[in-house]
Amino acid sequence: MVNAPSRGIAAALILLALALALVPLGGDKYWIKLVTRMMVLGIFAMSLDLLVGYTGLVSFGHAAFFGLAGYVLHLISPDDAAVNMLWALPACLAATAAAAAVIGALSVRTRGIYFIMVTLAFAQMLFYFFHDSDLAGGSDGAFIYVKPVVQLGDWVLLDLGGRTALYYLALASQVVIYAGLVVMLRSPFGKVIQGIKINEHRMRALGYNVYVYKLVSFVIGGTLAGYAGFLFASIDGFVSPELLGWQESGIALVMVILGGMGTLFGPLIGAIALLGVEELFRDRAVVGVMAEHWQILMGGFVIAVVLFLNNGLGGLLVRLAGRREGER
Amino acid sequence: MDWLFLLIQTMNGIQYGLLLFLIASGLTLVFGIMGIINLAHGSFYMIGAYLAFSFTQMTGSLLWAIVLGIPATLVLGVVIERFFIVHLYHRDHLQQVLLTFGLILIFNELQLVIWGGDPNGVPVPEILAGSIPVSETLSYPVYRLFLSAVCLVLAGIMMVVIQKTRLGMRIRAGASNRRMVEALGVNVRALYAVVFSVGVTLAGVAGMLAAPVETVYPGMGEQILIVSFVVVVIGGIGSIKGAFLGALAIGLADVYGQVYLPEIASVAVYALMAAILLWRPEGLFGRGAENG
Amino acid sequence: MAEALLQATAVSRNFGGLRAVDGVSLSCETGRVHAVIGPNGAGKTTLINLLSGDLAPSAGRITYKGRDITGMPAHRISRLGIGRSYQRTNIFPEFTLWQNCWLAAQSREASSLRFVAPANAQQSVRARTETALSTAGLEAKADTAARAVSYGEQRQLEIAMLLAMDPDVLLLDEPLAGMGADESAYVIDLIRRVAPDHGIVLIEHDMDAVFAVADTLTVMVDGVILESGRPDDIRDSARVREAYLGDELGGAGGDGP
Repeated sequence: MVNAPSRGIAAALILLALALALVPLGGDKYWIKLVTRMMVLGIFAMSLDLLVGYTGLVSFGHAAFFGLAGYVLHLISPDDAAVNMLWALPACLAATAAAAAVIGALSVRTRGIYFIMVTLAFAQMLFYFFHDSDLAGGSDGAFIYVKPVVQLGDWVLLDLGGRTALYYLALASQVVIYAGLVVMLRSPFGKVIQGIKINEHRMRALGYNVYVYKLVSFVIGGTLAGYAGFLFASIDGFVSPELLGWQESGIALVMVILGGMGTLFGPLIGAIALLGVEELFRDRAVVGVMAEHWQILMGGFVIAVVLFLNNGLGGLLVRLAGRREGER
Repeated sequence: MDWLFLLIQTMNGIQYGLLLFLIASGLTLVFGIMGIINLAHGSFYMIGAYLAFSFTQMTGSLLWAIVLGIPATLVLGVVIERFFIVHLYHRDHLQQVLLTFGLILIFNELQLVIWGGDPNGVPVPEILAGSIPVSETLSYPVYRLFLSAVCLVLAGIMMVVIQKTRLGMRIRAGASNRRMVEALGVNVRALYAVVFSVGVTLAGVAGMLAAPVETVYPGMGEQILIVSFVVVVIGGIGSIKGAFLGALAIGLADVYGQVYLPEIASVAVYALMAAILLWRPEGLFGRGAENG
Repeated sequence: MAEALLQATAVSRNFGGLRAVDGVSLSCETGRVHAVIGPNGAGKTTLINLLSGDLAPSAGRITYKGRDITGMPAHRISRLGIGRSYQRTNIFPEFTLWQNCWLAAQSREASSLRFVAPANAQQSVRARTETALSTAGLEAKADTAARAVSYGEQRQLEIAMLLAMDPDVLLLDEPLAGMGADESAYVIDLIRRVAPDHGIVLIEHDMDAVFAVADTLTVMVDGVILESGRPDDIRDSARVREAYLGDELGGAGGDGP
């Protein structure tokens, strides 16, 4: 069971976290914002890896929860004041958890290709809901004019409107969620979902109610995606239906595969790499006129990753770091 | 009066359903026989519609455009199968999803490069331009009848091919047991190429036929892809019969939804899918075990 | 007579037009080994699948400790105390033998919805895991990945997982298939050792093994029971001899116990 990274990987991850911690000291707005997005999307991709890489649930509708949390944040944020994260965050997470429970209860009953299509269809349902209704700006999207704060009484502890504050919140979240998932994957629940991924039929014969465990995993993954969505909406203060669209779900899957699924840290790297590649493809200095049509390059890149990078960057690193130590 | 209105809506629903069937049948056969989930299937619908737009401008008539468009989409199907899909046999669904996702990104951008981002209209051919009056105030366009008829004829041809010919026998065998067909020494590669290309062509034809009825716009491929997925899920993977019934059900649900419950119309189709899944997780005509 | 631990009454299962199991009745009591033999395609594995809940019977009734379990889902039947092994090795190849058995042992806990403490923290589950491994003679390979051990050891692992589940009924589907002579002898001995505390239904082609451990023998042909009784009676049955056993029995009888 791939649960904890080997010592080499752990050291590399700590170094990465330290390096990330230094980025805001440079003070370049462009970089702070880009790396914040990388880290937040890394959390999103990691939550998807829990489903794809550890539970065997290939969800193609994961962005539904990512975008939904953003929309809930928009809906509960007043136009002229900051919403207090102490209740706004739980509200957003509760909404995504509830949505994941309903969508999961239906889609986890299906398997394989059906599961892929059903999760996609439900995500599109939410997409069209926000796209076609006047609830939150329809297809144009909507603004969160004042970003959330953490406030105790009159005392503002943290203001997500501050670029650096948001940056460090994203970094801390990434570290905490990663560590939390490592712990969870070593727990009885973690072992059981990994067993389901490898041999679902046998798990049933052993007496596990496979449906319940898959559903719980789906809800945890969805809620974490919601957390990422909450942060993401706070970066630009803007939500649009595209956040829950199938392209966003597809990109999340690409990050997981690019980083290496079933490694947990892989998706974090995958998010950094994919956004980095995107920046390159959009840069006229690098790709010339193709910068206007960078989606063509991105499509080719995605295809190349599928065809040539079977275990992702994470798999590559694991191989470089050598065999992991024996572990129970 | 009221029931005439209902009749017209019903005919619209059937027409939309038949169109969906052309797209979904290709999807379900590619799933069922080749074990491949093809997200780019909707792109072929979009490409068909844009080809109809361009060829109509060149030749002056949609009918000529279709005559030119069919070989064009067939060739496209052969090329895509030969260079991309071929790498996906025996790979898992996740990789299939991602590779075809990459194809969509490319197709969408190419579409913007070639045709731009504005919606386009395609004129109905002159001989089919009229309307049949059904009452003093209501009439039904001839072109929609023509569209339904063509879809029915194509569906009929498909049924005959699948039921009566040697190719059809292999397709049926492939849909029920892929490994068996491989073991029997049928030229699987050729069979796959044929199935995929025909599926692409059907989706392309659907796009060409739909061009005068719907606007030709960027993103039309994804919209129809998702609805086709719903059709396939409802009907059961690999089942042509299921795709047919599922397509009609979705067509009617969509049209009735827009007329009678406009607030939730966009969600009605998915609600129907959810209900059917609750009742039958493998779809109406699904085969229990999943072979991937 | 005491009530049977596991009792199937006239169970049938159809696949389309084919009747794979047709009106079979069978019972299983603690301390006894009930072997089911018959040619390939006789419906033996289907019968096991019906007893374990992997398949629902088309007709008939199955009770366990007096409770009707007909049509109950497999995971609930398993939790009631009916464990099964598979004819084709059905394990978790990526996991170590220890982890394979741990999953089996953990399955007996009320719930595995525990997210924080490490999986190996709970003493009782660990103990059951380790007992099962050592009973099956696999403790030396506990930390080897299941895919890396020999075929015979994978078969032993199947049984170890079964024991880790601590069931009252063992449904063994050809436990000796593909094993070498030494491994077979070990597993036969193992079955003998665990038999006193369990009810066992055994499907096996190895006639030496069957006659060595079985208390009751049922012969199935084409989905129906041809004959059922004590091994000696079956051995002497002309019908069985004619329909199925033939030479095999001659050989087995020659050097039987």
